[in-house]
Amino acid sequence: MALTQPWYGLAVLVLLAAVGIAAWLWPRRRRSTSGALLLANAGRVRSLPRFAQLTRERLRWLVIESCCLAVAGAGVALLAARPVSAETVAQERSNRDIVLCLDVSGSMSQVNRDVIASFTDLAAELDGERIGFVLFDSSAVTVFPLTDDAAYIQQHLRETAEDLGGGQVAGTRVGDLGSSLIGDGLASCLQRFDQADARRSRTVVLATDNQVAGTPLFSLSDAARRAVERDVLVQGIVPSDNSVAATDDLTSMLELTGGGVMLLGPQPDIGSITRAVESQQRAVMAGRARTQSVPLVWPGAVVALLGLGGASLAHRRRASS
Amino acid sequence: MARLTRVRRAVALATRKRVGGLYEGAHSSLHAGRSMEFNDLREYVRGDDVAEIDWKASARSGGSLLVKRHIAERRTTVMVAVATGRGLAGMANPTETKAEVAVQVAGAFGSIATQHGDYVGLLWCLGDDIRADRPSTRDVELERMLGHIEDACGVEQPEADLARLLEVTATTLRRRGIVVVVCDDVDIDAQLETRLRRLVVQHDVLVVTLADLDPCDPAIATSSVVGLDDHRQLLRELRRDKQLRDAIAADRADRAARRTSALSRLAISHLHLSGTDGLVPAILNLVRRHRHAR
Repeated sequence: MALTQPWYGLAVLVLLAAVGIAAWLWPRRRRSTSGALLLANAGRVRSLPRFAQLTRERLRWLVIESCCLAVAGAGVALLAARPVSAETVAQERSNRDIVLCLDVSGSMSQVNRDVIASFTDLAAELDGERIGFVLFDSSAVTVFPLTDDAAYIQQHLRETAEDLGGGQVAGTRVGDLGSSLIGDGLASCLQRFDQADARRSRTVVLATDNQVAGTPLFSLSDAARRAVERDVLVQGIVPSDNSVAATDDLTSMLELTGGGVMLLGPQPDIGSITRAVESQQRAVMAGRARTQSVPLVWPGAVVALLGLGGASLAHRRRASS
Repeated sequence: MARLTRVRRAVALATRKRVGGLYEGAHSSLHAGRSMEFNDLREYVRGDDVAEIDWKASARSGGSLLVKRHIAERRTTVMVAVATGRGLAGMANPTETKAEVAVQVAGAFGSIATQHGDYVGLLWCLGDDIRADRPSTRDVELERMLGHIEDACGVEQPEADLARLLEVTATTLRRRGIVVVVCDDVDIDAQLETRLRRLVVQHDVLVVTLADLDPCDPAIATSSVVGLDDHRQLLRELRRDKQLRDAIAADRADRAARRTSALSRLAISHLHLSGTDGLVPAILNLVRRHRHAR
């Protein structure tokens, strides 16, 4: 906690002290006795033990009230000094872009649901990133562009999972170049990143079996090279029962970009993808964290309110005794 | 004559039914002697003044000579000694100051006395300086005396010196008379008792004490009460306290009991007043009690 306007606080403190001293001295002035009933031999009343007792009680409540008022004044001074709390804002969070890339060719139809389930887990685990979702077969369809609306992401992942049960997704098979064009799909996914000039962390999570049936415009190695050029990390997800050759090929390509391949077993290790995303994050965003000051109102307000409450309580007790 | 008129009205109201026997016998004659007032007849004895013989009565009685007997008309002096000072500027009750009550007391004694042709004198304090007004029977003088009392009871006046007042009273009034002491709610200490004892040997002494305002009276709970001597407020929230009120009442009752016992040891009739309400009947009652006590 730091004070941004300590002089204001000090000024308020001095002002309140001056007011307090003035209030203390005010009744000391000899009051005019006009209108008041004069009582001779008032000393006899004052010397009664009961009077002394009442005076003591009154003094006690007066002291308590004064202390409470002083506390309230300190609270107000604290408010006037504008305390702030320094907060380290995790800027990198909003600098992450992740495009989820799903191969919806016939060979993947058995595992699509598991993949989307793992995507859902991944999206739930990552927090605050922008996530886009692209389906591809012979051509790519953007289910949703990069967004940080978590509810929207979850909803569309769920709907996509339902759609996939119904067979082919509209727009994923255009032209007659073949199907399951992995290189084209990855290249399309790379196109989904916006703000090309900004220093952002970019990751593609590519779920595919790497079994090409047709003639793609981009080979997988071309696409991987483009990814390297653009500083995009590509992380693969491969069905666990995939052919070893295809998996090895994919792995070797994706390792160029700094990513790896995860086998989609019955209990997929989403953590490895998350870790890969975050490790890249740190490399890119190192030293970008900045501190932000947030106004801290409650300590002053609580102290002032407590003081005022105590003072009014003491005042009531003093007046009613 | 405003003060005296007020007092007269109060006296007239209180005594309407018994004007005839108002102050009679309160200071009856010690000696039979000559005067204009007829008492009874008795038989002539040698040495009586021939001029005193009632010839018509003697003729009616057939044979014996009768002489008139007269009440000796000796005028008594009522000396009112008021312990005036700052203390009497305080309130006796929510509406009257003690000075007002003192003026009423002096006025009542004065007007009752002058109605009977007695002299009324006044002694009052100006600090330890004791002032005196010569005894008189005239209303103008009486009114002036009441004015003196009122003037000497201001807030800026010094405190009364009751002991000195009693001392001066004893030396001022040479002939036997009636002394009415009007003072604050005092404690009779040894010095005062000595002075009173000396006074009571010479004169008939009546003491009227004036009560102070009860600061805890619920009727004045909303008005402010300021100590006369210290100019400090008696705070309202403190005055509301029931126990304090009881303590004040007990303190006052204690003092009254001590005073009563001291004064009854001295055979001094005493009256404690807390206002002008029913003042004249109380004074008449006091006078009557005093007469019976003698």
